[in-house]
Amino acid sequence: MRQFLKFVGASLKMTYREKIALFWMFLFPLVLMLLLGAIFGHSSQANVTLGVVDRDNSRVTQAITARLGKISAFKLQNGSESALKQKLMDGKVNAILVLNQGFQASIFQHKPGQATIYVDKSSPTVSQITSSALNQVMGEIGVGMAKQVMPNVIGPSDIIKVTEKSVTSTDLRYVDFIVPGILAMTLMTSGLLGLSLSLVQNREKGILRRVKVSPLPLSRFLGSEITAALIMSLIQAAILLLVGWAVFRIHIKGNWLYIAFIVILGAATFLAVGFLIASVTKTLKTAEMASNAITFPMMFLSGVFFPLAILPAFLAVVAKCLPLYYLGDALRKVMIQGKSLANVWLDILVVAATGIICFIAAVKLFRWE
Amino acid sequence: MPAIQVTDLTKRYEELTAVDEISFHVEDREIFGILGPNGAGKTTTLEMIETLREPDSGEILVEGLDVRKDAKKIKEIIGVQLQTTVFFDNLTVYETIDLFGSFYSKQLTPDELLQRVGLEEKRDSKLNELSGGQHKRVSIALALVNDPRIVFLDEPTTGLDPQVRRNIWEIVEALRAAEKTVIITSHYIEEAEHLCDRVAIMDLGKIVTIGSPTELIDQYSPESNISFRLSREVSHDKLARIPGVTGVHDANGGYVLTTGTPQETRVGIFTMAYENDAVADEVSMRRATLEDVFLKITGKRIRA
Repeated sequence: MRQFLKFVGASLKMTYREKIALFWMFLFPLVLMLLLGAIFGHSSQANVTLGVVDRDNSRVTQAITARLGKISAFKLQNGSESALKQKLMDGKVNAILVLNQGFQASIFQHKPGQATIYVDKSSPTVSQITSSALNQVMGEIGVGMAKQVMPNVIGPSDIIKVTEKSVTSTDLRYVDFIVPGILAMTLMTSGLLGLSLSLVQNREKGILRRVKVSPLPLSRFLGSEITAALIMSLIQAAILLLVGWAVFRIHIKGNWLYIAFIVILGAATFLAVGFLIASVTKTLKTAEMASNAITFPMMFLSGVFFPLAILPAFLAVVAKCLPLYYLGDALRKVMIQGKSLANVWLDILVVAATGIICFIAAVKLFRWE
Repeated sequence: MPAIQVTDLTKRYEELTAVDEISFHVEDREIFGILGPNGAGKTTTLEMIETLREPDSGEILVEGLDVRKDAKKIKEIIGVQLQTTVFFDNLTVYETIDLFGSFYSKQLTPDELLQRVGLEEKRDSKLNELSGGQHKRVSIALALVNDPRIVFLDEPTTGLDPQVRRNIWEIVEALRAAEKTVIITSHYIEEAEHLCDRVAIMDLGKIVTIGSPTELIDQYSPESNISFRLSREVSHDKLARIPGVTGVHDANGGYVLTTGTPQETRVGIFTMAYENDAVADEVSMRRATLEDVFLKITGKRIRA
């Protein structure tokens, strides 16, 4: 235990004294978050301008339009479909909702009413956020109407209140999207680079041999390094969230213990990946290249900076093969949407499995020199 | 029981046999030197004893413990200074020693160790601020951190200037006083002569010979060279008749005689000078060194 604490302390001390590492670990993610937040944050904070085309022009569709109009985040615009589409392309409206002909009739036949949402895919964040918000609102209005049509399933719930809540909810804000994403990215890079580079460097310098000639077991040596790296990750997460909250007022609805659990899980997993890199590479150069080859695609493909929905379909499939996607997803759901760990069990499973597999492989392949 | 017993030790790297069936032992509290040119197999031998490398065949016992079975116990009682001496860059000397000390169940205090190697004033310096000699001293301090019974020093003075080398020698001599067993590799002949009780000379993975420096010199290169000047010229024939002389050479306006019995020959030089009305001057004797022994056995210079 004394050994362990001493080693962890020494590792932390070394990291603290490595100013360049500190920059990449702490300042870089902060700057990135502040920049992205400043650039994209405002556009999605503004109200969504929504064009509505009511082709059915029935009692039901009018009621829907009226209800949408009451939601403060939506500013409604009427007009012909073609004129609205032009406006959408010009960026003057964010999305168009078309209520198709026969909407009311299908509802009365207990079938879903047909509606189409047009969004501008060239401004991805806005369109993604708008469409998901609209989908949600429409879904909830639909539920309400189903209850009206079939009164026997009516519950005590207040439909309008539910609608309001989800629309003003944080789903609309890009910063709320990006902060968990950047946190996930930071856990990945510092986990990967932190352990792999220092291990490879220590091996190249012969420090590992010097350690090997002492009675300290490998497991304790690595355990100490990993613990120090985990502590660093927790500090990183705390700073990122604190700044995110102070500057952007991000809404952290989630349970702090859940968040800490996922942060530690993510950090541990990427440390294991880094450990594997250290085990299979020989020189600092190749370790660096391997780390970059892993981090860069993950950074851009895993939906850290933007929603997966805007990627071409095949890239979205690729993204879902990357563990960072699952970590980002879990963090976002737990932090921003306030979900419980049970809701993100698949994310947790994928991330943990990645970590365990990498760790086992790394221990098998580890070399002292 | 010897401190170290090595029997038929072999290590191969693909085609190259780095260590070729060597056997030797190191007595308790002895300073034992392994001498040889680069690539002779010194470091490989050391690293196998230190449990860093797995032998291909043969047996190594350290205080009766088998390196294959009791590596952990051996690690507790040995102290190792590796040839490459690089440490964590961002720790101070004190912190480094303290950290490495924590790896052992027995630990000397960093301040005590710094005093032993004469680095007290560098206590709070970072490792990357130290000179080469100071680096070596830190690595020797690290080798002593667990107060080991057996200390391995792998080329502790390579690349250091003579003054610093002498400082390191003093540290090694202090180890003798502290009753440690020391195994030291070197390719400085005078270092081995100065420090070691016994020396093994290695070449091409084999131990060519083992013995105390004096024994080796007597055995392989028993002759001495005596150089002197004369006030007037004397023929080589007359010089060759001086008792004990086996060879005569001119050198720098004087003469050099090779002899197996230097005392007798010295007296003979003055007698010969007196008989020839000459005065002998600047008489100096050079005993053979391990360098000569090495040259004689292996046919090459050690620093080749």
